[in-house]
Amino acid sequence: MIEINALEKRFDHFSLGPISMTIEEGRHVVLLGTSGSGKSLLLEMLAGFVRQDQGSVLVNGRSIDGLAAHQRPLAFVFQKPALFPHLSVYDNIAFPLQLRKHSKPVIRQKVEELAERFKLENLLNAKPARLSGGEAQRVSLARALTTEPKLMLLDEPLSSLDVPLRNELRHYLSELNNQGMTMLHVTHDFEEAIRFADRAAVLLDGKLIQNDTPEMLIKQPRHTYVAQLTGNRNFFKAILGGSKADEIRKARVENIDFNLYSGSDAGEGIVVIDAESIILHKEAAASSAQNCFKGTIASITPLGRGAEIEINTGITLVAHITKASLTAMNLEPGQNVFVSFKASAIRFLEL
Amino acid sequence: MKPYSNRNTFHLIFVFAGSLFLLFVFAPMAGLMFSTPASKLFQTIQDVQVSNSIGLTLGMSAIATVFSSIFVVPFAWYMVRLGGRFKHIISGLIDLPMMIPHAAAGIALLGIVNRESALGRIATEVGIDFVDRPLGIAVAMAFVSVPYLYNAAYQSFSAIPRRIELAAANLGATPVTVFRKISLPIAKRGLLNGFVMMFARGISEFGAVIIIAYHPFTTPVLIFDRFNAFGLKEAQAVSALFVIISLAVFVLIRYLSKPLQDDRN
Repeated sequence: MIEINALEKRFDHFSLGPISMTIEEGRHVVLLGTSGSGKSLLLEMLAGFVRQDQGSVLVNGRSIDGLAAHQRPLAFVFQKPALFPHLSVYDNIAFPLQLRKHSKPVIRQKVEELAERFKLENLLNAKPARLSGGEAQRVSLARALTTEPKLMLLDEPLSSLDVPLRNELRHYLSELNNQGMTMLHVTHDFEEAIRFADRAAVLLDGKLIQNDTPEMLIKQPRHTYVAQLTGNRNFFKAILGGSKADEIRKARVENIDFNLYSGSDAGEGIVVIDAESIILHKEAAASSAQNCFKGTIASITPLGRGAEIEINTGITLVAHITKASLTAMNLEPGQNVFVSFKASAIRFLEL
Repeated sequence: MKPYSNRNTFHLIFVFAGSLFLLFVFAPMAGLMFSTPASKLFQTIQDVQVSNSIGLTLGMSAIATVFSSIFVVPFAWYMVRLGGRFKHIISGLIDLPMMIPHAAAGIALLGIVNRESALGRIATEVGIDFVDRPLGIAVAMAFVSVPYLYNAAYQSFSAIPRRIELAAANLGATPVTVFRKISLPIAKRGLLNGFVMMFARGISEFGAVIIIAYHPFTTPVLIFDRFNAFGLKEAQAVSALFVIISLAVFVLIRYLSKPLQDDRN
């Protein structure tokens, strides 16, 4: 368990903290925030690259404040791969083991195990300059695991990769977490957070403004920034049915089926429905939309442009409509309405 | 077709300017080489005073370079990591010996290593003498040429992304291990350039060396001495020989330091 107690760092024009949070063993905690919010700085303080001005960090009840970076039992994976350019992939992975004076057979066995796990067997003799971005990040992950860390600090390791490689690395991270690795993962991508995280901590201008489950961030944002971050508030855990061959597939949320396109494997995931794509009708109307539900208006909140309408259809859907539509339709809380949206307005995110 | 003709004129100006520049650099060198027949070169190489001076010059410059690198390379690495405005002031001060007239640099150095100075007295007590000694020559060479090594080392270490060294620390490397196993090998090309630059600057040094040690003769001092005593022809022969040997040494260093295969780093 990692306990962060009132950690603070002050600069001339920026200060971080005091930050307090606990990361339970085996959890995947996501640290969200815009660039400049201090999330990477927090990670660097935990890794011992930057000294805090105040506060303390405990790993399994023992303070690591007095430990230099090379003594801390935490692995750091950087945004861009930080491989040693003069060493082969083998020597990069072996580096921490050589430092710890393991015997050559032990090092070889461990490197080969990790190479197999991260599909690097054919790259062991290559120099980092020859690797693709995805391969390089896989080497970074393999190398970080050789030290058997208590916590992995991930500083947006997916952001420098393109989409297919991102999915591949995401799979490795999920697998690691499922095997019990504790992770603190910095990202500015909310979708990334809801896919991964047991908890998400949101930083704004160096302050921790909410530390909650992703569902609670969506349902009960405690700050307008959190509401903006979640933006599109129609996120639901869902089970995708059918197969990749089907044109239209069903995703079940509680006892409601959504029709959507998806190339994902059937199974658990999250559906995201863009609030701007949801259309309200007073009467049931025939249309080309694949999804149509009857519901009751739960609330109407004026926004800067237009209004946000919460409709209870068994689950709560959020729709954004213009002020003109609100006036023309004369909508009020408690009214029955029909909501519709196209199959293409729904995205399914694999977990 | 005006733009084309303009471009052509532009091109011609560059070719003309470039040719003048190349002529300026190579004409004196070529003149030096052609002015000395092979027989004269052969005769000069057999002159013990000349061969001793060349050996002394190359040897002292090599010693100055190797000895300085022990201090300068780790210091440059440390300076790259040092924050604050002091590092720019210190870097400026390190460049000073390069900026001032080298005779003035020699005088400044003689001021602290002469036998009457505090340092000179302590050195004399332990049997070390700088004035008119090979050691003094090495010190004078090091004084004026060490900024080249420092600057090359500083630039090479600056080019290493911070995250690479942090990653090494995170994986368990102490600062000394990070320096030895990560930074030093990554920066080796730049460092080697620094060594070559410092060595080259050292062997060509005249102003500071002649103030500290007129004798024993380094080759630049010997060339000056021959010119004064025997005139241009004698000085040209020693100069040509020294240029050929220096070139051979540089080519050899470059060849030995060439990597066996391109590791694209």
